[in-house]
Amino acid sequence: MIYLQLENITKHFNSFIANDKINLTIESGKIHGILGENGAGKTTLMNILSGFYQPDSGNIYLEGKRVKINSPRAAIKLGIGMIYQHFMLVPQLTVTENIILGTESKWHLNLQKKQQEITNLSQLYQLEINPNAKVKDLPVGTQQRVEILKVLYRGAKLLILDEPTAVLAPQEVTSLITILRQLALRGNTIIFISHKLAEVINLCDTVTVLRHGQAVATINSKNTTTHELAELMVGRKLSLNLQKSPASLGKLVLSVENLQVTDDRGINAVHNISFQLREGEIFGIAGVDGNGQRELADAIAGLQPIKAGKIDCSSVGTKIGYIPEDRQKMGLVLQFNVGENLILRSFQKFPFCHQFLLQKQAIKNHAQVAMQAFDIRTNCADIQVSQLSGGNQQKVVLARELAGEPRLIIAMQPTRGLDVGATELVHQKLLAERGRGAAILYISTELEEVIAISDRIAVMYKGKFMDILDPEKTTVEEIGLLMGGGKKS
Amino acid sequence: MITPNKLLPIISPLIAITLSLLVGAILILLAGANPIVAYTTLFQESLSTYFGLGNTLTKMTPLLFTSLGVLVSLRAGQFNIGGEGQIYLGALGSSLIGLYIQGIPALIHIPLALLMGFIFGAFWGLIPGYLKAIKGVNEVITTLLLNYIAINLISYLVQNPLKAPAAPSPYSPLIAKTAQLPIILPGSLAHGGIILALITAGILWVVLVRSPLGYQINVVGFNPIAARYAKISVERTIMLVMGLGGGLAGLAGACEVMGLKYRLFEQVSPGYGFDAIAIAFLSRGNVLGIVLTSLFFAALRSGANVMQRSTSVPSTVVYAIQGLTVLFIAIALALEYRGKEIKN
Repeated sequence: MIYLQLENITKHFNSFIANDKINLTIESGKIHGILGENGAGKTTLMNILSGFYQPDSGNIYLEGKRVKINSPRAAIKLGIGMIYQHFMLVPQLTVTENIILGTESKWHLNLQKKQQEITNLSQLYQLEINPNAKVKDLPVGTQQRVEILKVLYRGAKLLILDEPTAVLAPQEVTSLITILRQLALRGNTIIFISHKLAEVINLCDTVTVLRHGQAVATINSKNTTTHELAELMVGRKLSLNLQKSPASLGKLVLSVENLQVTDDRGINAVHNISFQLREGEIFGIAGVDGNGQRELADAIAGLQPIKAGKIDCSSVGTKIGYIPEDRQKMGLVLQFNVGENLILRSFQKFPFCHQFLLQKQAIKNHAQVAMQAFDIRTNCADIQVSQLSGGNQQKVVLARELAGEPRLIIAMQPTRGLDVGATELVHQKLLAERGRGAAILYISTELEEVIAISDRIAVMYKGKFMDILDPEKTTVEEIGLLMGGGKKS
Repeated sequence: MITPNKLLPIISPLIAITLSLLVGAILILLAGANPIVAYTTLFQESLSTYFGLGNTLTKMTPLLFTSLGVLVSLRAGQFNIGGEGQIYLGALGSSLIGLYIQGIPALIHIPLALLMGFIFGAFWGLIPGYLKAIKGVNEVITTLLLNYIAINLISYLVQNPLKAPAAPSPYSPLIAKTAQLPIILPGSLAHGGIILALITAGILWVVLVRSPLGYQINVVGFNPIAARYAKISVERTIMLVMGLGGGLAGLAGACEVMGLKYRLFEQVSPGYGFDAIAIAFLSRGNVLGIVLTSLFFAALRSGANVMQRSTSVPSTVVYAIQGLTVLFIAIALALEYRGKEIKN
C-alpha cells in the first residue's frame, strides 16, 4: 500500500529552484532513503513534509488522501514526525519531561503516570531507556532514542530522519539500524536522509537520489552499488579509490613526546602520547568523537596549553594550517564574506593590510583566485558565508589553511557533513599538499577515509594511542575494535 | 554593488522613526492638538531657525560622542550601558585641567583638557572591560552600576571640595578661558564640540570599516571562538573597546563642560548616556546611521519645549516618541531574525 505520495513538488527561493517537480512514492512499512549532495534539495523537501515550507506547486497525498501541511503542528497531527540531526532536547530535563514537553495542556501533571506510559512505549518498540535519566547525562545514541520516542509518543506513523548517523559512533549506528528495522516491521514508514552511501544501501528498501533539486532516480537498493549511487549524486563519473602515490618521506617536521593535555574543565584528555611526523607523510588518527582528538589537535596548533610532555615543531614556524573540527563555530566568521574569512589568520599582513588600512581590492582578488582554485560555488562573492552550503564553507576553510605552503597541516574531521564531490576535493587537495612535502595530521571518525588516505594510522581511545598501524595491513574491523577500547586478539 | 542587505541598516531605522512619529501623532491628538502643526513647530524650530539649530547641534554633540562609544563596544559584542557614568567622569577630567592649570595657551590647554576627559572616561570603561575580559563579570551589570557611582561622585565633588565659593547651588568655579571651546554659530549655543564629534565619527568609520583593528573587533564580536583560533586576543580586544568606548563618552562630558557650561555642575547629563544606547541600536552599528539618528534625537529634544509653549503639547510626548522608535526597531530586528531563522 502506498503511504506517501509526492506529485510535482516545486519550491523556489527567489530565482533559485530548490525542488523541481519532485515525484516520490513510498509504501507503508518501508524504509526509503533520500540521497543527495549538500544543496541538492533534501532539506527543503523534508521541510515541506514537516510543514515549515509550503510548496509553490504540487500535491502531497497521505494514504491516498490529498493533504495540506500548513504548519509543523499540522504535520504532527497527520502523523509525520521529524528527527533532526541536531537534537531538539532540553539537556537539564529528564527523558520523560522532554518527551511530553508541549503535549500536556491540563493544569495537573501526573509525572509518575507519564513515566509509566513512556516505559510502556519504550518496551513496545524495544527502545530501552530510563525515563528518569536527565538527557544531559545520556550518550548521543541514547539521546537520539529519546528523539525517536518523542515523535512516536506524538503518534507519528511516518518518521523522517535527517542525517541521523552523522553524530553516532559505529556501534551506535548498528543499534540505530536495528531500531529502524523494528519500527518498519511494526508498520511505520521511514524516510532516511543521508549522504553515506553504504548505510543507505544496507538499511533502505528503496533510494531516491536528488540532484540540483530534481529526483534523478529511484532505485531498489538491492540492485545498486555505492559507486552507481555516488555517480548519480554528482552527475559525473567518479573514481572512488584515491589515487595515491607512494610516500616520499623527508625531514622530521613534528615530534610529540609523552604529551599530556587537559580539556577545558581541567580533566586529562590526552595521556602520554608520542609520535613523529615527517615531510610528505599523512598520519591518520582514527577514533570515536571526544576521545581527546580535539585537545591533541589544539595543543599542536598552539591553542591549548600543554600539561606535560613536549611538542617540537620548531622548524614549522608560522607555516601551519589547521582545519578545525567545527567550521561554523571555530573555523569561520559566518557574518563575513568569503574574502574576509580568507584573511582571518593573515589580516595584518601585506598585501591585505598596507599603510595601516585593509586593502579591499587585494582581499577581493585573493578571494576570486581561491574561489576558482577550490571550486567555491556562490553566485555572489559578497555573500555572507553563513549562506553557503556546508561543502562550500569547508572549501573556504581549506583555501585559507592551505594557502602559503604550510609545512604542517592539521586536518580535523575535514570531510564531516560533506557530500561525495566535496569530500573528493578535500582529499585531492590534501594529497597534493603531501606531494609538495607537507606533513599532515589527519584526524577523523570515518574509518574508510582514514585507511584510504593515511600512510600510518593511530587509533585513539580515551586519550591514548591504542596502536599505530599500517593501513595496507589493517582492516576496518581491526580499527573499529581498537576504537572501542578492545585489544588485538 | 548595493545589495538589499546593505540598505537594510538605513531603511529599517527610517521605517521605525516614521512609525513612531505616526503613533506619536495619535498621542498629540489625544493631548488635544493638531499633530501636523505640532511636528512642524518642533522640527522648524529645531532644524531651520538659527538659534534652534544651534541648540540642536549642542545637544547632538554629547549624543553623538556617547553613541559612538556604545557602538565601538557593541561591535566587539560588549553591551556598554555605562555611557552616562563615563560622561560624568569625562566632565570631571577636563574640569580638573580647566580649573587647576592656568596661563597656558588655548592651543595646548583645550587638547589637554579633552585628553584628560578621554582618559577619565576610558578609565571608567576599562574597569568593566577588565572585569569582563579577565574575570568574566557581565559588563551590563558593572557598567550600569558604575553609572551611579560616577553620578554620586560628581555630586559629592561639586557640593564639597570643588564647590565655587558662595555659589547658590552645587557647581564649581568657571574653568580657565583658555580651556573653553569656541562658539561656532555666534549668538547661539553651538560650540566646537560638534565639529570634533563629526571628525571623530569619520575617523571611527575608517577604523571600524577599513582598518585591521576594525576587522579584529568584528571577529571578536561575531565569533570569539574563531578569534581565539586566529590567535587574536579576545581579552585585549574587549578591554580596548571598553576603554575606547568609555573615552568617547568621556569626550561628551568634556565638551559639555568646555563648550556649554564652562564649569563642572551636578547634572552633567540629562540621560544622554541612555539615549546613546537607543541611538546605537537604532543605527545597527552603522556610523553614518549614528550621525543621522543623533541629529534626530537632538532635534526632538531641542524642539520639545517650543512645541510645548506654542501648541500646549507636553514635551514628554517627545520622550514617548523616542521610546517608540526603540520599540519599533526592536520589532524590526526580531522580524528580521525570524526571517533568517526560517530561511535556514
